[in-house]
Amino acid sequence: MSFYPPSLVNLIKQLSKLPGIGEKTAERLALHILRGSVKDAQALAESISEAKETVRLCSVCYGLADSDPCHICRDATRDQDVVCVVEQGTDMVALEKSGAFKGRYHVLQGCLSPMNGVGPDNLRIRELVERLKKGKIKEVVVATGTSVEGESTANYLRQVLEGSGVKVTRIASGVPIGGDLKYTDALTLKRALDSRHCL
Amino acid sequence: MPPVTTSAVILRSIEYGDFDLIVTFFTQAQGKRAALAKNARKSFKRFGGALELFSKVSIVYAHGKKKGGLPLLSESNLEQHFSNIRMDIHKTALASLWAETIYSWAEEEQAQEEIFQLLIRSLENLDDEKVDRDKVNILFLLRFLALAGLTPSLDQCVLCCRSLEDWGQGGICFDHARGGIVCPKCGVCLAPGPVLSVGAVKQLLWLNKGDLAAAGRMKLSREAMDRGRDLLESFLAYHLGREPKSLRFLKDLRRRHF
Ligand SMILES: [Zn+2]
Ligand SMILES: [Zn+2]
Repeated sequence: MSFYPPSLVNLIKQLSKLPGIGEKTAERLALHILRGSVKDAQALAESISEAKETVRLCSVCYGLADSDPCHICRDATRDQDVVCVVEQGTDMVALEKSGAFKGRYHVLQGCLSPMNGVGPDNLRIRELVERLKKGKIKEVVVATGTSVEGESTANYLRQVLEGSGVKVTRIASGVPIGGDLKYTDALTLKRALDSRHCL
Repeated sequence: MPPVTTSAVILRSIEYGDFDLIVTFFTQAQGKRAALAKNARKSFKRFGGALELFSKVSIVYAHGKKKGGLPLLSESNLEQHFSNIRMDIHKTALASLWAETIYSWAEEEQAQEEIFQLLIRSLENLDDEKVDRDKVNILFLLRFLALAGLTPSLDQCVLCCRSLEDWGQGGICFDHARGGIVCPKCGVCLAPGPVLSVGAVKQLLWLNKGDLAAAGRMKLSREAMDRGRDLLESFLAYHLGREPKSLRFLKDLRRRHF
């Protein structure tokens, strides 16, 4: 790498700090950027600093936003009665892509994890409770993951929100679309049967 | 190394790269063992729900061609899933404490049949809605400490060996450094733990005698439960050299009355 000029070496170094990118890949990316136009390189550099400067957490839902409140929290056409609680901003994006949910969100910024020392105070749980106190929300849909920690976080929320007068629901989990029953594990099948519905 | 097939409990799982998981098992055949579950996060098909914390699974793993690398997990089939534990944050925290304890205490590749059985029985009891979760925890800690060669001395003073029977009433100090109770005459503890009544200490002794099933039926006073639990948890932390993160989490839950 010392055969390259120092500025190129620096670019390779910066790129290789990114997750999943080793020195070889970083070298390839850097050379690719150099081969491209000045305009493309500037656009890349500017988009990085612009995202870094403008993207922040929405002070209502704690999702990623470039305005505060975010576009979802400001959208008057969305259902204001229902809030969907997710672990991460990426979960919110996945739900948005599905187009299946028309309410608002609350991003916990993780899930309770005893072994990793993530307790209730490390998540946006108190903020959720405060949000509910304002009285507009009638239903909380808990959409934390189906891992042990996601499930027990859902259970924790149910207990915390008990008596708040808000209906607390949990997304169903079961056999994936296109999934084969004989390859589905016992726990998933049990859950799928528990949440069966009339045809 | 030929492939190993064994029963195991999942102690810990961390994300590796974009698609994989490194899962640490407490295996029946080889004790603590970490293995790489390739593509476990990309495709749900391969391992399904069989890589969940605290589940009992039957696994197959083998060393890849690369020397010194982690063994590759080729199969994981669910044997027991303890679905009541995952639905309860307090139970999840207790199971986490046990898993974290075994994770930091156990040596790689050393089978520990008795501790393996203790963990399975304890998870079964914790999953059972009829059994008191705090008692299951006390039992786990008592038995685990004994199997790890750290039985706390509760029947006589660790300094003068005077039997507990002759102490009369009053608070008893547990000394972490000496690993047992110190009588009022001998006095000072080096590393003072919680103070217990004679009655509470006796109940812990009884609990330690019978088998798990008999102990499960025993009635304990609230004081014996709370102080006994504090004693065993702090004694455990003393020997691990640090307070397990799950224990800090548990104490926080208890403060919140969960
Ligand atoms: Zn928002
Ligand atoms: Zn003494």
